[in-house]
Amino acid sequence: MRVILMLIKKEFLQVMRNPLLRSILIIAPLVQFLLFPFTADYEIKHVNIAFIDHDRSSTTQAIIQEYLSSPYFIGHGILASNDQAQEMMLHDKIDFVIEFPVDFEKNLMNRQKTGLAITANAINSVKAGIGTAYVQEVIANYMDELASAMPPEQNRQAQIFASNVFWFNEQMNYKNLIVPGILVILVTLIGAYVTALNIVREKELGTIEQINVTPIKRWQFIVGKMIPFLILGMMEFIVGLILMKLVFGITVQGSVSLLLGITAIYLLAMLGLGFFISSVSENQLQAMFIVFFLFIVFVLLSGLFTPTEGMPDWAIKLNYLNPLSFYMDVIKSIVLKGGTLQDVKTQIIALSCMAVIIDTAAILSYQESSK
Amino acid sequence: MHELTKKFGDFIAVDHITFQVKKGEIFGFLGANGAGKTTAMKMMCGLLRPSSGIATIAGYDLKTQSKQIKKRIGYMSQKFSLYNDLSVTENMQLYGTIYGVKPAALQVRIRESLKDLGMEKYADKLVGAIPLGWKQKLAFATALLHKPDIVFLDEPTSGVDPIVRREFWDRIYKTASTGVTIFVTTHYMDEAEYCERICIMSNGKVMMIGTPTQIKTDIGVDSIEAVFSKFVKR
Amino acid sequence: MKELAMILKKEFWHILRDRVSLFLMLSMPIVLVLLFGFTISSEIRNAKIAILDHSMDSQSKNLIEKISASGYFQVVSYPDNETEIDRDFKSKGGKLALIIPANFEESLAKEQIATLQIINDVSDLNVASILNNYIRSVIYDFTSDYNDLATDPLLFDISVKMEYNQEMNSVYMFVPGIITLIMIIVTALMSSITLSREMETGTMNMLLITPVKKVYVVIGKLIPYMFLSFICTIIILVLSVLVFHMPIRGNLLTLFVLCVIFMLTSASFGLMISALVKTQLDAMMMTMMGLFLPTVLLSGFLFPLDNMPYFFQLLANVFPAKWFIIAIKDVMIKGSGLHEIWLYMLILFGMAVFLITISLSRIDKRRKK
Repeated sequence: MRVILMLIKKEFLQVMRNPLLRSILIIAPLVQFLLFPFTADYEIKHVNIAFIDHDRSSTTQAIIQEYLSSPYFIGHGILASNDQAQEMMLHDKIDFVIEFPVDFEKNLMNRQKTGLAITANAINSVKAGIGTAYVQEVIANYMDELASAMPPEQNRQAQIFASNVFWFNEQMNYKNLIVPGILVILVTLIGAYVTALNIVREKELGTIEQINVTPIKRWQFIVGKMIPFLILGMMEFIVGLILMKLVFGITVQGSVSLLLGITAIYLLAMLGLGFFISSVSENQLQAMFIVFFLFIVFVLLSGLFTPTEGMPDWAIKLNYLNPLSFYMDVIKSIVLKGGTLQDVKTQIIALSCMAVIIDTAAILSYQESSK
Repeated sequence: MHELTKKFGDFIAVDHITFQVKKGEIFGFLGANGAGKTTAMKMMCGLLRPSSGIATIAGYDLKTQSKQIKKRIGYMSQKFSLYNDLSVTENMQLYGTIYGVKPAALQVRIRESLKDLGMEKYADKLVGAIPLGWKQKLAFATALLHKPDIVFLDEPTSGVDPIVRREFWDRIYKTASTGVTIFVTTHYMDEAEYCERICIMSNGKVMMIGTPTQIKTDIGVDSIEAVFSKFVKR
Repeated sequence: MKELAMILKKEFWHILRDRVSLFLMLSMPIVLVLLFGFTISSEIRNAKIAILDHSMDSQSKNLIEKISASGYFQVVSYPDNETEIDRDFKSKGGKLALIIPANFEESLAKEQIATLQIINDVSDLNVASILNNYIRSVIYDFTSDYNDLATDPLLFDISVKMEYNQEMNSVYMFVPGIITLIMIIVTALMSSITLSREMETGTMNMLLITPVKKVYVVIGKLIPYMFLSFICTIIILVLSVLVFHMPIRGNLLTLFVLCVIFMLTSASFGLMISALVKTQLDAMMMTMMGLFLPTVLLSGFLFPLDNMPYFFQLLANVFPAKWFIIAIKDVMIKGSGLHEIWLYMLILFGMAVFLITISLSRIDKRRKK
């Protein structure tokens, strides 16, 4: 016990005396919280839209007006021809063109078949996809209004209306998506990156060899390394939670202690990963590359930036091996939706298993590499 | 130590070496760079696992009782490996504690050894900030904190000036006189003369073992340097 | 020239010796392209929906069937009340719930009207609005079927055309982005690390006091990494053409010239960072924080620039990635030629010249100290 306390003390002294590490620990959360939410904004607003109106009727005018009054769209006028639209799209001036055919209004009123054509600039497929949803929503709403405004005798057909209720983010705050993601990145970074670099550095400096000739037990050494970084990681997380509250007004909906508990489990897994990577890499450069590599894979698969629902099956299956994905689920559930222990128990079990497996691998690999 | 061998893949770094060291002896390991001195020493300290052969250190078997051995030995590597960002006292506290020295005793020992070294003024300085010669002495003192039976010194004096080297060897003698076995590698030929017995290694093999005088007479030359160049030429 | 060749040889030798890093460097583009290509998609399939059916009649059954047959949704549960919907959102990953009112069939038949309620999990707004659009189109289809299409009050159909990218392949957006990131990692990061390593260990000074020209020493260090990142770029392009069928509409030569210029710019960023820091670790951190992170955030490839506060939009101009991404997208997707993108090339080249000049003088000053 004394040995471990001594090792923890040593680690803290070193962290406090290392200006780089100190600045990472302090600056990383600040930068991430101040930079990410303002720049990493996936919300599709400012959809640039233009119209080609072959009908020029009061209906088309009304629809165009609907678009212009929506905060999501920026109108770029009524264009004369398709060529002009093409030209503007080529230069990224507009994202969408809506074309009304001749006799649009007449056909609509006389119940003749008509329609309209939406052309999306799909180079940015995400913007095109979500933008299309917006564009169609406006038309659908207009049509609903139109139908219900028709005199009843003309309107003998059944209508189904749908009303929306929004849960878990009533203010429709877009930052809700990215901010919990930052918490995840922060914890992962401290867990895997800082630990791996720290240990590889000891290896490069030769100080780890000096420790290895002592009768210290492997678990003592590993625990002595893990506890300080676990504490640092938890501190970072708490700072993150406070910043989240202060800067973005997002409060944890569920139980904070549950959140802290699961974060500790996740951190243990990440610390083990950092440990493992430091055992298999020869120098800081390699360690950095490996962590970076895994980090990108984990983040992309986790659904931090893109919904997992859109992914192919193999990617979804691969996510069963991705601790970041489980942790992301937990954060989203507890922070945003007020999830309880019952709701996240699958994730807790998965994370615990991973932590045990990774940490065991870390201890074994350390043994391997030191002999 | 019997037929101890270490292979790295096809490369045989240490090739069936056999020798014995008496308690309280200053035993020198001599050889050119890459002769296998450091590898042999690392095996004895439990840093590397021998590929074959047996060894008994401080009465314990190297293969099965490495834990007990580690408690009984001290080690100072050729690369300075105390923590530069910890102070002198903090480093000593750390290693003393790891070796299981009781807090009260440790405090006394640290104070004594700092006084002995004349390093009291550096006690709270960060190790990274003190001169190299002092660092080496500190590393040696730290390796002795837990009163080991054997101390392994891997090229302890490389890179320090002659005066400090002289002082360092005085310290080695003083330590040996208290019954501690000193096991030292070096490539300074003059240092070999200070050893009670030396072992000359080349290409992973033991070429000769004996007192410096004995070896010189056997070969028929008047300095260890001449002995050495004879072996290296072969 | 002979001296340069020697330095180049030495540097390549260094690279080839660290097999692990080399392997990671070369496999990074492959993994990135595959991952981005397959995971980023605005199309959502099998989103989890919970359906609370108060009416349990044949029409509500029809509607539910239509929803599950649409391919967009996977019905995960049939809760009995709103509390259970809440539970299913939290534990079963439900993103959407549909509440069908009691007497659905009857009200449709008698009053010709029925109101459904949709509950959206809007913790991810984009997903919510896509799903909302999907469910509404399913409901619209259902209504049309119910009314028997021919007599629909508003005969109306919307055709959507995805210009430049019919399959809505996200590859168009991120291939330029991945090329940018890889070049930053391989050229800027690696050259800043190796340069600072040489300065840390003092070997740089040894090289600099030899009669070899200073410029050769620096160029000799930068070229190998530019070469490596060129290989990575080719890997990315080949993969995106073969696996994701991305067209390269512009001239290949123009594309390569553009890439080489950008490599030079990133390498000069690396040089500049190494001139500012003292150790490898600092170089690593500084490249990550000062160059990589801004590139990810401010280049406009992952996150739309026009969403950002004005300050960040201005800041984005300072980093080369923005210009490179605009130019490479124009060449690859729109087939622009040299005469259309020369301005971007000039900006990138100007940045490189500026950075190399000030870093060389800085290195010089530091040496003389």
